[in-house]
Formats: sequence, C-alpha cells, structure tokens
Amino acid sequence: MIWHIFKKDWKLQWRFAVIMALVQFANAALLVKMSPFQDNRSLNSLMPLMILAILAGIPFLIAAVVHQDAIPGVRQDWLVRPIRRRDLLLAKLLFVLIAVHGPMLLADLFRGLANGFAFGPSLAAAASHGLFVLVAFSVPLLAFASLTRNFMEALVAGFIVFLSFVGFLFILDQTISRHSLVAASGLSWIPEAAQSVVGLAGAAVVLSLQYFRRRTITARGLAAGAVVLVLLCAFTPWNVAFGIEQRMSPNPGVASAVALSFDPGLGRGHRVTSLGAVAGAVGIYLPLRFENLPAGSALISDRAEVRLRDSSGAFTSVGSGELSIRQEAGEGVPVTHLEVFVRDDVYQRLQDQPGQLEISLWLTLFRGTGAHTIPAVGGSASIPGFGKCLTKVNVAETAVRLGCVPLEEAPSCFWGRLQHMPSGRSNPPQFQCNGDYSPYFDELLVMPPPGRSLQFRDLSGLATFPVDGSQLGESQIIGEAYEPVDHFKRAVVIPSTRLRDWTGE
Amino acid sequence: MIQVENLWKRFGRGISGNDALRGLSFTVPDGSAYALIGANGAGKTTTIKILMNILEATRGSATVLGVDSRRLSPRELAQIGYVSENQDMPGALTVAEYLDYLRPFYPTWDREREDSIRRQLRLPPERKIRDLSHGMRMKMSLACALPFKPKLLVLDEPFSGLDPLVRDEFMEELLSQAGEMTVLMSSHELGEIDGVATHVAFLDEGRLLFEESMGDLNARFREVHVTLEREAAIPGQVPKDWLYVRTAGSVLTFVDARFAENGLGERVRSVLSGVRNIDTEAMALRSIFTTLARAARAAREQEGAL
Repeated sequence: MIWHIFKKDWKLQWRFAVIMALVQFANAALLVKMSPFQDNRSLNSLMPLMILAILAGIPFLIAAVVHQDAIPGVRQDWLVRPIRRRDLLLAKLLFVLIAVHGPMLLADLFRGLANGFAFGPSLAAAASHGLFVLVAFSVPLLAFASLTRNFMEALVAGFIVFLSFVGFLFILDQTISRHSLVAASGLSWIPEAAQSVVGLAGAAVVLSLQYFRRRTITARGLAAGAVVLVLLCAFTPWNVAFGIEQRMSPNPGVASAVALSFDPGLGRGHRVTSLGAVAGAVGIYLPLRFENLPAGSALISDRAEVRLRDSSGAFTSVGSGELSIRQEAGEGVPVTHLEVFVRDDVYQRLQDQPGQLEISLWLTLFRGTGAHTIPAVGGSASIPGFGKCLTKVNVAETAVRLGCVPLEEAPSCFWGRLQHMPSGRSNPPQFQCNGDYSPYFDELLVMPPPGRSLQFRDLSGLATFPVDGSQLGESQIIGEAYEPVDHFKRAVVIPSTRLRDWTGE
Repeated sequence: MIQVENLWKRFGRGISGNDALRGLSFTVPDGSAYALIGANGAGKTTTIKILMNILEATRGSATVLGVDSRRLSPRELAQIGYVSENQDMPGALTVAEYLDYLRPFYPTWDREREDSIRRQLRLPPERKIRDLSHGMRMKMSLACALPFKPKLLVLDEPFSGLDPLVRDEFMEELLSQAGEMTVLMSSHELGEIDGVATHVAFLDEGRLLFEESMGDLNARFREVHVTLEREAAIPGQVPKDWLYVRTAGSVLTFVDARFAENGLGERVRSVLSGVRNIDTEAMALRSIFTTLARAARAAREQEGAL
C-alpha cells in the first residue's frame, strides 16, 4: 500500500513538487551559467532568491505531504482506516525521495555533466550530496513535520527553533572566543557530523513514536531534547575533535619530524592594517622557525593559543593566533610570524609584564597533489582537485583570475604563481588555505566556487611584478591543490620576554 | 461486540484538568443498534474516540471486536465503519478519487455496493470534498463506511446539522444497508434514535446513568396520575422508583421507573391514603430521558449539599 498512499499524496502535491523540481533545476542551471567567475550581476542577484526558494520550499513540501495524514489530532480520517502505520511512514519517505531527492539528484547530475565532468563521477557526487541532505535535512524535517498538525503549527514551531538557534549562536558569539570553538576551524565537520547523527537519531525516535504510537507530547519533548543536544554539539571539546582528526589523518606520523622553535632573528612582524585586523585588539607577531618540513608541503594552524607565565608561575591567557606557511622546494628553512590578536584590555594589562610566553599549536600538514599549468589568459583546462578551470584578466587589469568548477567542494588549500614561460620569471607565489577536513561533501546547497586571483600590477605603482600585463600572453598559471596529510600538536616556549617587544611595526 | 470496563478519561492535568469520562462501563451486544445518549459534553464522542483508538483512556479498558481498543490493527479497522461529523477527509480530492483511494484498503469492499450507495446518496463523483456541504460530507462519510459491509458501524453524532430531508436520506440508506451489522451511535437528539436503536445508554457528565434495551425501557417507565380525595401533597417518604413527583390540586403525578401493571394500586396505596383513582400513561422516549436527567441532577445536588 506504500505506492498507493504515495500516489494519493502525489495527486495532492504534484504541482508543488513540480515547482520545487523546476526551482532545483533552475538553480543548477544558474550555477552552471554563473561558473566559474560569477561576473553576471543579474544572475548573481538571482542566487539568494534561489537559495531562499529551495531552503523554504523543500521544508514546505515535506511538511505538506506529512500533513496530508497528520499525526497529532483526533479528526483525521486516516486514523479510522485500515492503513498500516509502517506503510504510511514509508509512503511519506518515498515521497520525499521521489519529489525532493529525485530532482535534486538529477539537477546535481545535470550540473556535473554541464560542467564537463564524466557521467560516473557526476552521478557519484550527486548521490553523495543527496545522501547527506537526506540524513542531515530531509529526515529530521519529516520528523519535525510529524509533530505538527498543519502548516501554521509547523511555521510557528519552526520559527521557535530558528530563534533558539539564533539566540544560541548570539550567546555563543558573546561569551566564547571563536578560536576555542571547533566549529570555527577546519575540524568543524566533526561537531556537524555529531549534529547530523543526533538529528537523525532524534528523527528516527520521533518518527517511531509518532507513526507507531502517536505519542505527540512525548515526541515533542524528545525533539526539544534533540534540538538542545544538537546545539550542545557545538561545544565538542577541542582535544576530542582534534584527537578524532589525528586518528583520521591520511598519513599519520608524516609530520613527526617537524620541529618549531622561537626565532628572534626574524625580528618584529608587520602590523596588519586591513585584512586580519580585529577591532578592539592589538596584534603581536611571534617569529617562529619550522624545520624538517617536507619539500613542497604546507602547514597551517588549526588553533594557536598563547599564554603568559609570570615570575610566580601563574598563567594568563594572552590570545589566539593563526599562521600558514609553505616549504618551497629548494629553499631554506621557512620562518614566519604567528599573528596573535590580544584584546586591548589584556594588552594594556600585560604589555610590560615580563614572563615566559607559551605557545600551544594544533597544526595540519598539507601535501601538494601535483602542479598543473593553464594559460594565464583565455586558458581552459581540467586540473585535478580544482575541476574545470578557466582564466581571464580582471576588469581592473591588475590580476589574472583563475575560476574553477569542482564537482563538489573546492580544495581547501591552493598554491599558485604566474610564470612567464620563455624567460622563466615568475611572480611571488600565493598560498591560500582555509582548512576544511570534512571527509565528505557536507553542504546542503552547492554554492558557486571561490575564485583565485594572481596579481601582476599594482594600481598605486608601489609594487612591481616580474611578470606584468605585457607578458600575460606567454605566461601560465602554475597551480597546485593541497590535501591534508597529518594533524599534530607542538608547543613553543619563549623565555623572558614582554608582549610590547612583539607588536607589529 | 464492544465491552467497556470502568473507562476514565481526563483531559489536562492538575486542578485545571477535567474528567470527561468517570468509570464508564457498558456492553454493546452483537447485532444491536446501540445508542449513546447525552447532552453536549456528556462524554459520547470521547467514548467513541477511545473505542476507535483515536484517544487513549486514562484508566479502564475497552474491547472492540474482541481486541483491546488500544491495539486495533488494520485487520479490525477493515471491519469497522466510522461516520462522524468531525471527520477531516482530504478536501482536495474528489468524491470518486477518495473512494478510489480507500477501496484497496478494504478486502471486502464491494464496488457495486459503493456505486449503489453513492447514487442513492446522490454524491457527485467529480465534486471536490472541500466543496461539499455539511450534509453532503456526512453522506460522503457514510458512503465511505458502508461499501465494505462492516461488522461494526460507529456513528458519532451522524445527524448533527443535517436538514430533515438529508437526515431521512441518510437514515434510509443506513437502514437499507444495516443487515447484520452492529451499530453504535451517539446523539443528543432523542428523536434521531427513536425507531432505530435497540439499546440505549444514557451518559451524563462522563457517567453512565443506565443502559437498557428500548423494549425494557419503554415497558418499565410510566407516568402515573393519582387522584386523591383531598388536596395532594408530596409524601415525606417517596419510594426511590418514583421520579419527578409533583402535585396539582388533588392530583399527584410521578414517573414510575419500575412499572408493573400488577400491584401498582397496592404500592400506591401503601404510600398515599385516600386514593380515589390511578391512571397510567405510556411515556415518550424524550420524557423518559428528561425525567432521568432531572433525577440525576437532583441526586448530584443532594450529594453536593451533603
């Protein structure tokens, strides 16, 4: 009878389901059309509307089909009919699969094929995305809808849950340092996976209670408890999350020889005046030396905490910092400054206090997947890890843009440089890294990929580049994606110093 | 067919809670047309919803077709027809579409019977359910309850809000299809069950005041007029079977709840002196219920006063 119930639901909801399918296809087409450079302002302005339509429409469609045979209440005709509860639940699930996930799979598949990927990988990527959305979004929504008897109830309850999330995030933002949160790092997938597991388990219990026992009050209580648990997952202890990540390292132990030390010879760092500057904070720059980094590897900090130990042995937290560095092949031992943001009031209190600075670093070592080249202007190539890539000069004619369309997510780290092929001259390489160690694609919606820019001209005229605009025709972008290989911890101690000595110049 | 034992239902909690049912017990015999009678709020619909496993009882038990009502499975529900004024059917489907939808769920669904009922009730197959009038929706509900020849037909206030013509059409169809089925119906309108019900139970504020076959009920209630030789007065000790006792001039009138032709005069004379004449009058169902309701209320007030 599952199919029979499904057919009834389809008869009642097919118009809405078709509209949502069209929206999903339109979104996929928009992503294809926008990619890779997102230059068309009209299309760009459509994107938020599409996102809103999908994020509002899919829950609405799921709620609508559940409410066709609502669980709470005493007036529904299905309650007195010889309908197996299991069949009813499976029919609703089937509707979600066919009316929501079917078009989603086809739209993702279409996007992959339209972007030039082969059928197999496109289908695999579409299926993996669909599975994630089903587990993290659709099934919990199905359970949520089963707790309400009509759309208005669902809307009010949804609004309450939304306000709880917003309020929770606000309180979190006001009370806890972003740097101490797993959710603000490349390890964010761990609390998110925990949230998905809690959400799915909660949804399974709620659906069982509702469809097999019709215990709406108990189920609502459990759902509220699950929401609280989901929120609490954001507090996954750092060491627990990092421990999990370490155990999941693709090449554990590769970084065991990497050594960090304080390198006062590097001198003071330069004050950051725009990017990275934090209002109400003072930047201090601690020079560090990195030994035994494998050639062509890169290192980023997932978290860096600095403490000051005074003469009495008492510790005071100074602040959190971040760094990223790459070991260029054939170059010496890399050095860089750990950029630490110290709250104004903390700095005023500690700036002249002598003591020992202790730096705790949680780090990730990345390895290049192999360099690839693409012409700097009008280039078109498929680059492993990045997907289908195109190049062009930006409107201001100051940089070459590299736009790539991956099947799922763009790699979290990119290294690239602009090289004039006949002369071998190249501009300073760029290394951009936003750690994201999720082992699967964990986004509800596929978003336009980020663009990369390689500068060749400074409008102010202050900087000059070995490869300038006149050589672009004979130049190539040499780019490489980086994958995480190992996660590890290190500690560095700076004896007898003061914060004032390390402020930016 | 249905057995109810000490059924309690409480809505809400604490002081604000309300006992909708207070220890209800009754039995619906196979093949009977059993009527639950009572004013609005007496607990009729609550009882029916517990029997149909739509609501859960706070205490007590109910068995329907030999199964605990909390465990009614599709097998039992396939043998129960349910008609209620508070039944939400999918409004966006047409009459025909909804009948098409229901048909496969019932192994005993008779398509010819369905067509015949639909024609008799003059239900337009192409009309959307949400566009049906209240009376037509009740007919639709009946049309969905009869084609599978249910063993048990449950009618919850089936005539509420129906105009006389629709009511007659409804009853006509119901009686023509009744056959061997057991019918449980609730109503606050006595006229609706007169001539239909074989058994009756009277509910008042969640309590069962009595349950009886219609034949017994009609036989044991009589209005008795006693003409006395002097001005009538209500005696100090009134037999408990004498209800609604009142006087007018030399006539004392009461409702005898244990009427028996033989010995009536003797019983009256043992309570009243100077009896000149005794007349008895058969009572309409409405009068019987009015009397019983008054008696129940008086008894409660007396309990409250104590």
